[in-house]
Amino acid sequence: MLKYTFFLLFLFASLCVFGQTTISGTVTDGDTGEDLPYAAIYVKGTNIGTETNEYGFYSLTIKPDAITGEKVTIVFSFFGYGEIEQELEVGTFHTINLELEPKIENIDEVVITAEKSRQEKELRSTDMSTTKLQMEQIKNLPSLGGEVDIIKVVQLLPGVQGGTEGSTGMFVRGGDADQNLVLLDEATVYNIGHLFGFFSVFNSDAIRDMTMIKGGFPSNYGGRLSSILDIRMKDGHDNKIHGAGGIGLLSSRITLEGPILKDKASFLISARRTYIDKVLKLANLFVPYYFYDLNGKAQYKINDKNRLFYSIYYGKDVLAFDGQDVDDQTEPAEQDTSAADLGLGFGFNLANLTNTVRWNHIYGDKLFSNVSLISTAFNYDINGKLGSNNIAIRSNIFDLGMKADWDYFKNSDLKIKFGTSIISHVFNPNIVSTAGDVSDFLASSAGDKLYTQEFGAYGYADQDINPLWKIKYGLRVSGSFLKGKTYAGLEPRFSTRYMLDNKTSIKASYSRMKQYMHRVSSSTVALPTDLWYPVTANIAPQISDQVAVGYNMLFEKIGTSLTIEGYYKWLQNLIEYREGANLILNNNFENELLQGKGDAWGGEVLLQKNKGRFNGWISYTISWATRDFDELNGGRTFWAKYDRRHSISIVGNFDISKRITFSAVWVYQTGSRFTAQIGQYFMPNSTLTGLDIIPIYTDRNEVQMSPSHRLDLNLTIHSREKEKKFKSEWAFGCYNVYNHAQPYRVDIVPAEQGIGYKYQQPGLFGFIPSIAYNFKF
Amino acid sequence: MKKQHIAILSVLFGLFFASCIPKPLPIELRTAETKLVVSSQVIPNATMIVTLSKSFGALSYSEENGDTTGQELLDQLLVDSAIITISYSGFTDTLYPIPSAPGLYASIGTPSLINTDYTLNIYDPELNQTVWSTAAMLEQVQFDSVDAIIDSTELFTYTDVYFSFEDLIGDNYYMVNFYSESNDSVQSGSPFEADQNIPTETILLHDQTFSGTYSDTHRLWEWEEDSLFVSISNISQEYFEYLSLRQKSRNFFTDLVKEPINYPSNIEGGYGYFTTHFPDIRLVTLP
Repeated sequence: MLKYTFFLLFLFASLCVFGQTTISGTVTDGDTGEDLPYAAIYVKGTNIGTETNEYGFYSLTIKPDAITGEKVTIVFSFFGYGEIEQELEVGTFHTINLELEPKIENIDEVVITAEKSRQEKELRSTDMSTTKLQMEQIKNLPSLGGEVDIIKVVQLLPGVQGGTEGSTGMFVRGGDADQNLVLLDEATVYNIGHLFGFFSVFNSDAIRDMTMIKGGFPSNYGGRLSSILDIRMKDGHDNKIHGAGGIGLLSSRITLEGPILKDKASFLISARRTYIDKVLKLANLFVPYYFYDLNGKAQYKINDKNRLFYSIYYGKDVLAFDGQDVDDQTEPAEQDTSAADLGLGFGFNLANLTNTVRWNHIYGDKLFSNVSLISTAFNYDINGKLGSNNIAIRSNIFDLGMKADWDYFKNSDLKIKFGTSIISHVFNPNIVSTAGDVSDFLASSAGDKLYTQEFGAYGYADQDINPLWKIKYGLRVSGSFLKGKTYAGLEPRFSTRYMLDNKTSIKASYSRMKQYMHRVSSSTVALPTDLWYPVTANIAPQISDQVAVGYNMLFEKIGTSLTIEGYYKWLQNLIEYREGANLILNNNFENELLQGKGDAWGGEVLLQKNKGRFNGWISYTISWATRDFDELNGGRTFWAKYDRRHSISIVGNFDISKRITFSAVWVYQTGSRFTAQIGQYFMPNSTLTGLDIIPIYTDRNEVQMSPSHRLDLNLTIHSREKEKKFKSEWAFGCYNVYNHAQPYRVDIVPAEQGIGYKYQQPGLFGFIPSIAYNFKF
Repeated sequence: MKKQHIAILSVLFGLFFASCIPKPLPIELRTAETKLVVSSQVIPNATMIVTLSKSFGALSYSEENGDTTGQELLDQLLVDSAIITISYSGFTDTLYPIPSAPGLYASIGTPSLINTDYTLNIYDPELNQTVWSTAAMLEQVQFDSVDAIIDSTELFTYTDVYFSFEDLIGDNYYMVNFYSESNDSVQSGSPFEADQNIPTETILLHDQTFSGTYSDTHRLWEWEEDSLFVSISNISQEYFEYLSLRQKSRNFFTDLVKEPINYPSNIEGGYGYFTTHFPDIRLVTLP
């Protein structure tokens, strides 16, 4: 009886499988061999389709009742590439590894069909609060100093507030700056800014694409409350040697990529360095600061089902002030005492190092896996010397982790993703080394090393309920092990999409996120003293619950999409600092931290046109963010520092001709908030032997600075078409064209009449022109 | 390119960028209401001293812009015509202005009653404001011993002060002050004399971590005075937290990166702090 049961089951399963058409494989760039993530694969004339995952793999199973006839035409397309159609017999299994050719020179023809399919894909996806950007879309945008900066571009998206003018701080949907997870090839990047955050650490020549998620988080992401910025490096050209580079006012960069074994293995190396210190040294002027970035990647195709990747990033900020250098540029007659004689020196070093080893494996037609080993190291040290006195303070973080993810493409209606991860963190803050008399004030100490392990396991299903309704539902289990305490919890995730018609959809989502580490910093400018710390027995993980609803519309004829979203976020266990908290060299920082809650809500509009000679986007955000801490502001609710009511970004690129591109960015933001001094009094000290001046402040963050707005322009002139092997361009840009102050603080300064004082708000950067020469071959 | 050309170009670029620094934007902010500022000191079983002044606008004086504490400014802020009383155990004493010390008021023969609440009431007819506060007088703590020696390193001179005292029963907070002899304002003079530069250090202790006899050494760097006063007081937890906050704000690094501090006050309708602790004061003569 049992064997008959098994036979019937087998027959039933076979009947289900029989008649299905399954295709799977990889989609790559026909020129470079790069994986094409999120390329569209669909049945021509239908809404049945799928997309490649982030590693270029796809699987599409078409049910027999979805097709009429004996053949089916499958379309493969991707933004910026030509389209390919393949005709297949119904009821068969196919492995199709496809190469799409880029169509850069005929941008108008770029397959508007490809763009249409990408926009339709976004319309139909359950993903919401998500923006995917290719480097091609942003490379011509104007920026500070002429450096293409992906973080600054992300700040132009709705729901993302920048911090201090020019900084790389991100405040997403009312969250704090340390609530954003920034990944470079799956490795966490703790410090994303050079020069105190004014330039991002990401060299645009080495980057392939990035995805910014602000809500509706899929279960495979966790660890931060407010956003995930997933940045992927290029793999390297597997066919020919190629290069690119640029020379700008602030820095220069060079990238080389090519095959190690043709069509089998490739490499990419990219480097960037500022050189103003070297240039001015020629004129005997001393600027002791520079930074550099190095990116490297190698990939190896073992066979059609196995690939190995290795990525590395190293970036460093160096400030090295030496008394001898000061003396060299000062006339001896002007020196009271030689700086060198004083033995004066000061410096700091900030360094990021990430490594990722990754293995992709394809099991059959429907299952794909990615297993990664990841390490991240972030170090900083500050040093100073005066005569025989030396002081050095070092801190570092080291992460070592492993993650494994599986994609199961069950059929065209159901995709399942699941996986697990574990990261071991070692925090080594405030290691102090002193020598000389200064050690009487500050003794050497080894600091307090902290060890934690952070784990996560998840699963989600992305399922079509019917042709109009799709849902994605999943769960993440996360936690952190530390000495004497374990934190663990569930993070349910849900998102849904309903098609109102072929061009309109509505979406909704819910996400719970937990965060097991935080950055201890009381300033909004990235300082070398900003340290990351884990949760402790007394500091619980931060938690957010976010709901969002959205409306999407596609204007097909003009290649424009409209997205309107509203959200509400509840925040728990947020971290702030006691008034007067001293975070410098304070290993007992726990006593300085307070935990409270917050709320954030708002609406966002994004109108985006990605095709044609004129393209770009307009984004508008209206938002509110509040905080509640029992020990701050007298227990009263107060506004978050970056509660900026209105935010507008207008971004445009216009191809004046085939050789000339003009780009403009105009941004407007309501001023950020601050706590203003509005009075003062003299207060005797405890012995009545002297007076202190005590300031009187408003309620916390009560006052709003003036709105900031500016216009940036860029003109790019490309080389002539006949120069096919070596292409170059000149980029002429200007930042803050009408020289308007972007307020970042309020000062008390003497009034013009010379009597009394007045308030004023200075800006950091005014009109700054830039010139850059870029090339590729 | 010659070095001189690079230098000229660098200067030109620098001038160009400097000339493009945007003009700061003005902003108008409200001014805090003027209120009375109160502090106090107790001479055991003799008198209670209260200082009284007024708060003023943020734009009237700026330490960051180099303003010094001129006597003219201080005199404008001192309040010398207020009506001040102190009430305790059914009695009420009046505090009278001290003619030689504007802004200071003293009572006559106010007893120091342990574990008794003292209520301070102040009315200023000029501002037409009334403020009040209540504080309990805590048991006095006394030093067992105080001594000091001077020593030096290669670069610095320091004075090590040794002191010990008996911890009182219960949960207690202590304030230990170190200040010079040259102007002991407890006995004469006023804290409102302009440009005073009397070195003062304060340490705060909580007996959560000790009991019985407590002894310690406090190092005073570059103490140039010939002698010093050392005092100890048993203070309330609220005053301890208030002083801790004031100490934190004097930290150089904190000043760079801290959030603004709104100091607590136990003065209803005003600023400052009213306390009724009274110190044990020792004079240490340094060699």
